[in-house]
Amino acid sequence: MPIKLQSILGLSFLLLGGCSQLHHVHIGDIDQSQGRLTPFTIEVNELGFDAAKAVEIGAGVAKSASTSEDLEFVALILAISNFGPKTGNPVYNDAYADQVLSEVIKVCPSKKITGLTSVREATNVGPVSGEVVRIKGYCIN
Amino acid sequence: MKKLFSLLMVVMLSACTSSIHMSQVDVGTNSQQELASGKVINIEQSQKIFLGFVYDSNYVDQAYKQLLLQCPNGTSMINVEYLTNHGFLSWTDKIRIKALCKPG
Repeated sequence: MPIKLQSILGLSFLLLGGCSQLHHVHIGDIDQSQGRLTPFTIEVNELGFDAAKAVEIGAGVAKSASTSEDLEFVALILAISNFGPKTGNPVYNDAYADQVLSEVIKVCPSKKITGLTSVREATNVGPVSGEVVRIKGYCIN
Repeated sequence: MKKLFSLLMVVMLSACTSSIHMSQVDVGTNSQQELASGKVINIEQSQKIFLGFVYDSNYVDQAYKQLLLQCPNGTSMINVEYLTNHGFLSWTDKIRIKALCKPG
């Protein structure tokens, strides 16, 4: 029974502990003198997953010591196999933000754009996250 | 069987992860004609790094030089992306530039 309670508590913390994290923001020039401004937002996202962290959590809750040790070894292998700087959780597709420029070009029928804000952020729920690139701006009408 | 499955999972999960650190779009003083008729170019430069030993970031300068060469009249809109492809005790830093060149 105590283990069940611990599991429920752990799961609750994982789910309720979801939070947004801003990694980078860039604000461009804003020109309000050319006409009426209409806001737009373009957002692309990808599932982020930290496999090593997930296995470490598994090692922490494993019932037997040998399973825990095995999982810690797996976490180490995963960590050294995915070496390098990370912003948010790693993703399995490095091209998810490739289309933002073409989307921004297409979004305004007037083809006049100003006030572009680029945001790189993430929504984290334990070892899983939504890795987001968001572009906000204004069409000049 | 259980160990084989675990090994397979580890191999699969350790394949080709990436991290996009920054992706920003900037627009210059543009005219309707430039956005409608400009040519989009793609530039990618990278640097392989082993165990964190890195002494320069010349690949960024190379990307910038290519941008100047490919858009001699300048750009009306630009998207710069900085990302890392992770690997076994090594990684590859990349800079990707997509730009809308001003027509000549």
